Amino acid sequence: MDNIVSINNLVFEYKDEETGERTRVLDGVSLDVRRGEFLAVLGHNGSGKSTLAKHMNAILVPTSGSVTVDGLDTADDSKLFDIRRRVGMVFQNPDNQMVATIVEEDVAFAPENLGVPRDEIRRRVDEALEIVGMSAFKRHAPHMLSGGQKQRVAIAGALAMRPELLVMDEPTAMLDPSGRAEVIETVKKLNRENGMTVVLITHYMDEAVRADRVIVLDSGRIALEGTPKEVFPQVEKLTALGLDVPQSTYLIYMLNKQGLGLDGTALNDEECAAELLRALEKRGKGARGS
Amino acid sequence: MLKDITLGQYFPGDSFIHRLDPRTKILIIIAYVVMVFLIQNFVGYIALALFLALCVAVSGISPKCLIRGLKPILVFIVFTGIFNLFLTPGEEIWRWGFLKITVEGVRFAAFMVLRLVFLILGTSLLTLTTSPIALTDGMERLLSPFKKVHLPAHEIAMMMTIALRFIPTLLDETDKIMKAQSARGASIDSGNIFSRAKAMVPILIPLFISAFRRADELATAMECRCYRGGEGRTRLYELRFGAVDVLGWIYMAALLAAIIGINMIFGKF
Amino acid sequence: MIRLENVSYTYMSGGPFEKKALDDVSLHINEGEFIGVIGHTGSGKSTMIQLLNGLLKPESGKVIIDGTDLSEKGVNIRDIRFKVGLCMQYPEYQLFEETVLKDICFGPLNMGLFQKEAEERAKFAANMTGLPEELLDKSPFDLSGGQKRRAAIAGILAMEPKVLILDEPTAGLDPAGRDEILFKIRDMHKRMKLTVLLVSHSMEDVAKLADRILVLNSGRVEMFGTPSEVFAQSARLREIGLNVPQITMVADRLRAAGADIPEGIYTVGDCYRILLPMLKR
Repeated sequence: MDNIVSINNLVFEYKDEETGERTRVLDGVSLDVRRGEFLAVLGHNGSGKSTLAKHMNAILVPTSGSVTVDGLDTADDSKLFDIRRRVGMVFQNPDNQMVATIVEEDVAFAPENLGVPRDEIRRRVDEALEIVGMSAFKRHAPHMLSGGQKQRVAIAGALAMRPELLVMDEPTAMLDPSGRAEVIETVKKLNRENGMTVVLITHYMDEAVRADRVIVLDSGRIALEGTPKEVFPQVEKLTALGLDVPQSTYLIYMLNKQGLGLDGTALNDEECAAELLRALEKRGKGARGS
Repeated sequence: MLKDITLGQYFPGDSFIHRLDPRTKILIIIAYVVMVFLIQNFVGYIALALFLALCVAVSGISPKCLIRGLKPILVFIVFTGIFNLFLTPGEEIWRWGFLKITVEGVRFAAFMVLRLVFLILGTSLLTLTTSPIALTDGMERLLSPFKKVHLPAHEIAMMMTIALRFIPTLLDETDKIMKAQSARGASIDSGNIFSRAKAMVPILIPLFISAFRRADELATAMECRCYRGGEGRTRLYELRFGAVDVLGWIYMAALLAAIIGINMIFGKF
Repeated sequence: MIRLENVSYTYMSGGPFEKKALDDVSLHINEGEFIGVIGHTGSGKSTMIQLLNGLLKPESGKVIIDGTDLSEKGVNIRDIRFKVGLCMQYPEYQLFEETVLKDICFGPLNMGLFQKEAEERAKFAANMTGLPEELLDKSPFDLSGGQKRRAAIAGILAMEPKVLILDEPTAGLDPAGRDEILFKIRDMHKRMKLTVLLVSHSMEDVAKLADRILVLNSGRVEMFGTPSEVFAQSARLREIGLNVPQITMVADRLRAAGADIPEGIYTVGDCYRILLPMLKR
């Protein structure tokens, strides 16, 4: 099977218990997550991103439509733990997802719940900590770690389930730049070297540009979809959706508005500078060197 | 000021005491507490003191550190001593106005103080040499036979683990909230007891709200990691009794016999 | 307005975990300046801002606010706190009252103002932060994330401080929410003639707003100058583990390749204005 998650016309509503009003959070989302891909989900607060994430491991089930994970329907109660085992989740606040007072015991939490034999737990814990580069901290107390380290432990905790998919709901929102870099490098490496399928929900465009594919949610629908190079040059649309574009992309967009005809797909400083240099050289001015 | 609280402080080590199974240690501490109250004369306390001194020496915990544990309840100990000293009826040996000291009072006060001190020292030694997680594990296993009478042994242990995990986080948070409210001119450390109690409101409400939010998020995170109660759970560290535990039991049994013997030979004080 | 003279501060002084958070820091901030404060976690930023309103006391050196030396006898530290409004990180966690209005009034009432005056100030502050008036009677816990943040900032602003210190006011907000708050902060700075210290990890945000940027590194002042002076030293900034705006890196790359681009570019607009004539025709 090619898709790890298939979402078909997903609608999710919740009812306010006091007023009885129904609020529609997701309004007909259809999306396939392909095995091995790195998918970034963007959208302003309240666009339905977190709700979508929680449908991927049956924390929430659709009001209508369907979600299947590895061929299992999330509405089927009897398959609940088979589904959750396949989907590792990492949330925003690193403090609120650790259960144990020692790093390795926290990583062991999921396999313990699954009834994995002791030797196998040991193996999984060591392996998971190794992958996220936290082996040296296995006997440490979580509250003594930095934010980035805590999130890496949370990732290890998810990996110890041997999941097929890792869903991360704004894992870097509360971190400082070095913590963010740590986490994103770890995720990128997991995706590239271990072939882990990753769904990353984020507000940071510099994280999203590193994904294979980007979707933008707005009012519970998919507003834009494509590779970063397809999505980010649509500066006006993104701004209207309450999102940023990388400064590099924005610069070229502004220059192109003056009819310069540059390649608008530059997503980082390196690509942007290369494109500008190409243009400068073509015009034979400005560039003094070769 | 919150940094001074050292709840469940644990000094990792590899001594004989550290290596004992937590269940053994919990059973020993129960026996120890029983003995503290069973002892009827000073010879018994000397025996107990020798036992405790031996344990401390073996554990590698500095006695200073252990004695520091008495500090927070020093006032309570002194109060208990004075209370018993002056208020026990019996053969008078000194009197000043309505204050009198009796022979029984001296003995009783000494006994109460000794009991308290021994209790604190013994339990401190337990928490200093046993990681909180091992303690909760031990407790869970010891309580598990009572599951048949619907005692939620696993749930109790899980609650304790989570409480231990979140104590530092919440202390940190309290500190932050106190600072934030001080920055808005809240006066926390001044005024009488009522205005102080009132001043706690701006700290306690945010703290509770944040604790509930944390609990909510933690519950979701636990669900995501396939938590479904104690049924069918395995453990990374299974508790196993070893040779050290047998030794521990023997020591304890010997001490218990000695205390009973001393009680019989020397009688009540 | 603010003057630090040889200020040092050490955490857990004398213990095995002793950590020097600030090491002989001297600096001077003028009235009405907008200062961006940057530095990675542990650089001494949060220690410094807590020293400025008396939440911490310096181990040595002097903190002088508006001519008052905080270490002098007889100085009422609460008055200093009303003068130097400090909005901590994730300030929405300090909300506690039944209504937003009451919560914003907490500071002014602590100052000893009458209810009526406190409420007037609260309404003004709510307006400054862009909090709609109809929300004032709601419970603060029913607001959205961005609204809570504004309510909390309004709670500081209502004390009408002369200096406003904001520690990561945009942390965790989405881009639109972030831009709105930053816009409001700029507005407050201009209209209320506030001296503002904005602590942020985001170089882009700081670059957009600040008159001068203070860079702290391991408890010392690494740089203190205009954005273009600071970002002209982008290599050094990266060396001490800080980012520079992406646009600065683009400009650096162009210059390295021989293009005639000046140093210290830090906004897309500047870069655009320089490049456009070079590329046209």
